[in-house]
Amino acid sequence: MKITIQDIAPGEEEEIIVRCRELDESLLRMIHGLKTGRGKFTVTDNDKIRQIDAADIYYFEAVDNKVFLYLERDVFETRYKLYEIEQEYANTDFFRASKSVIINLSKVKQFAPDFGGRFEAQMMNGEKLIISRQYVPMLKKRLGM
Amino acid sequence: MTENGKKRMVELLLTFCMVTTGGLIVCVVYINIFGPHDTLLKADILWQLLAMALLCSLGNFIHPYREISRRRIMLNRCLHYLYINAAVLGCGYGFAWIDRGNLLMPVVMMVGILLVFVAVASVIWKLHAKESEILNRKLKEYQRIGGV
Repeated sequence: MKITIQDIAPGEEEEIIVRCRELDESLLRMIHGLKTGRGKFTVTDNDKIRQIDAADIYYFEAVDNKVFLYLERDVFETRYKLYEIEQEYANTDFFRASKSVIINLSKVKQFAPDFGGRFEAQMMNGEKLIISRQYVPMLKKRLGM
Repeated sequence: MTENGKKRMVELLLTFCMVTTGGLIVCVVYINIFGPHDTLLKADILWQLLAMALLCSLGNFIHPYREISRRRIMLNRCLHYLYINAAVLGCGYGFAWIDRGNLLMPVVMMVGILLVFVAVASVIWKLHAKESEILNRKLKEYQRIGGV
């Protein structure tokens, strides 16, 4: 496979273009890795420091000025603020779903309609989260609607 | 104008058009029930229908853009329904569409409001459900190609 790296002008957005005949499994894994393998989250677990893979996170939730990250079953507190996560993980699978929640789109099982123009995101671990009305247009844009 | 302000204006205009159409249909049915066959209408009725539609559309402001709980959404919906009843009945008495002392007229009007409210809510819910189907299809595509 030929790899080409081009210099870009300052201020220009960095971009990776994949030119292929078809998206096979290895390419899909590579794209997924590029998108989610951006980093690890440091969390506190009973006074111990742990590193969590971003790809394993289901969602973040802010409660009483604390931010928690949710895995399939476990919950950990993180020192990051929601807006920091939103900025750092822009253009990845993480998506701001409401004022207090950021969800990982790769962990959403399906969306269901909810009252007042909102949607309910049913996560792969069975949890249900609300996509608030003001974030619905962004979700549609993100999914290419 | 802010983004939310623009959205409000578009929603207001859409609701105004829908209520004007609905009002006109209800008006035709109402006149056929209560009016004699040779009823002549004054042109004022057109302005009155537009005024009622505008008043009903203003009820949209009950629903805020900020995040609210599901219970609050339901409460706002009930308040919206009551507001529309008050607006339409107010116009009914104010513009003398309803004869004072006739109890059947306001009842028929309230039944009409209920039917329109339920019909509009059902259409909106179906459109929303359809939208969630499309979202789910797009989500599957998104997850299949590994995201953005």
